[in-house]
Amino acid sequence: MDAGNGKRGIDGGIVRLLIIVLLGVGLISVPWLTHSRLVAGEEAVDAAWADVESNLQRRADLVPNLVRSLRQYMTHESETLVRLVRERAEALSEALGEAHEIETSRIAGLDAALSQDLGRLMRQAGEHPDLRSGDQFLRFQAQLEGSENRLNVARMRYNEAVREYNAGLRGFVGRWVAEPMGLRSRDYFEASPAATEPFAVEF
Amino acid sequence: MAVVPVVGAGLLLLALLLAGRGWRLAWWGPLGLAALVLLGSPWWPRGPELVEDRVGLLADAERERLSDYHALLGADHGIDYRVVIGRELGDLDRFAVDHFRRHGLGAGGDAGRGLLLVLDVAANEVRLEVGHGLEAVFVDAFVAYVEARQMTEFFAVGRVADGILASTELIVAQAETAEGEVLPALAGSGGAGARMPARLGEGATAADEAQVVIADGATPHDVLAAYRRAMQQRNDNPELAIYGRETRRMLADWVMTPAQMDNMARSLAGCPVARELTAADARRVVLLAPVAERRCPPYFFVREGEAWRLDLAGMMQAVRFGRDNRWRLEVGALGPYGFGFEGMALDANGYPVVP
Repeated sequence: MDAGNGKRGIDGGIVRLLIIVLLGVGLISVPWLTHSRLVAGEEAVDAAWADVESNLQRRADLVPNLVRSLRQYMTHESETLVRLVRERAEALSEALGEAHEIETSRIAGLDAALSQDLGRLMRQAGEHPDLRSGDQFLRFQAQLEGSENRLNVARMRYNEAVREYNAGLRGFVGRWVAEPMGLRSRDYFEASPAATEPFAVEF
Repeated sequence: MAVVPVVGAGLLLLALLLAGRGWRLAWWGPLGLAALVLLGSPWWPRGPELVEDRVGLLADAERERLSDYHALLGADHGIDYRVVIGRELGDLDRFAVDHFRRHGLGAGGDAGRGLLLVLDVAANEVRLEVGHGLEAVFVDAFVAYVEARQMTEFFAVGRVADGILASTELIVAQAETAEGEVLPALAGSGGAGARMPARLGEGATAADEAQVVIADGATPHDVLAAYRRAMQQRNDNPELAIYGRETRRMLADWVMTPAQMDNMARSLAGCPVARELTAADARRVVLLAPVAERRCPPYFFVREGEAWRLDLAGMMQAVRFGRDNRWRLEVGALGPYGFGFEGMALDANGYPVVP
């Protein structure tokens, strides 16, 4: 009987020890794994943003050549639009070059404004019969639409990465891990309603 | 999949042989394997479907021809080129990117060399999506040019398969000019390519009516120069004064695309005439480029009345091009132009042997 009582005591002790060890492992590993996942998510967001920036810059770089080539076909009344497009492209390039923290809303706004005016410029240029029938306009159109489409894809992938990352931050464990580790939610790449307001151009 | 019945038959024979030798237990093995091979083959995983026609726009023979050609493109240039034809596919740009990713186009190896052609018959739009690894080879402007100046010219007259094939020839030519070190790239696509109106059902565009100006007594060289000018100006008039009678008849129903004319003009500009050979009756001439210029075909001329005319009809019969755009001869179809190639060494397929 004494041997049986001793055996039950040892089993109980081992079980308690195991529970404590498992709790300890859980308390360490769950936040650690969550932190790792959130950091990986943040890296994915940064990588996706780099893709967005690269495509924004690519489109902004197309504008000077486009404007130079289209100028000969544009009427005097279109000069304002041409200058507006050029100014918007320069502003976007500057914003991309200067931003120390990702100012997605501001950049999204500049991008939306440039897209809008580029679209108007191409529509006006397309009304010129000589330009419309030639391969030059086809080339311009393809380059611009190609840039727009790449930007759309990059923007979509960036927003997906942000959605997954932000969802992780708001999770049950994530919300406790994020604050002390300095992990913050990220903004989606969406233009604010003010983005389509007229842009002040100085001549 | 022809190997399946061969393997199955081989195993059956082995089983019969073992049974004949009295190896009663051993012959069950090959018999079982034969059954597995022959009966289970429909469920074996097959390669990706290169041409997916969801609306039955292409005839079976056309679909197979396209699939075979695109398989060769993969074998020759490592390009995974697939076609999807559907109806109401939604945003074609989005569809193309998603389809690329879902079906792993160009995912073999680490080069990301995938191409996807999507044709939406309801929206009447076509898009060629370019994978990451091919963006530097097929830039957006090139893709738009292929779609607008080659592919949709055929689509407009209801020749969808021909339009896809004709555009693949341009893709092959571009791939060859860019052949070199294959750099690693991400699989999938990032939105590169171009989308155009497909022009299905639009009908043929009216041919140019401008004529070429050519002096009386013009030589075959002069006629060839006039042809080059016409191609540079994209003059698709089938009744040009420089064409022979048979050529005009042939071109009356021909789809002559701006891209083909540009290609012809470039070829003529880059192909010097090395020899002029005249038939014994002085009524036919062949102009030959140096044999080493494998992409510079011979040109045939026929005298009609007092003028020399370009005989493109005769050339179409006798001169063919391989997948690499190098010309060869159909010796049996040379007809009255055989004199131009006497003494020329040809291989078994009619390709001139370069000395």
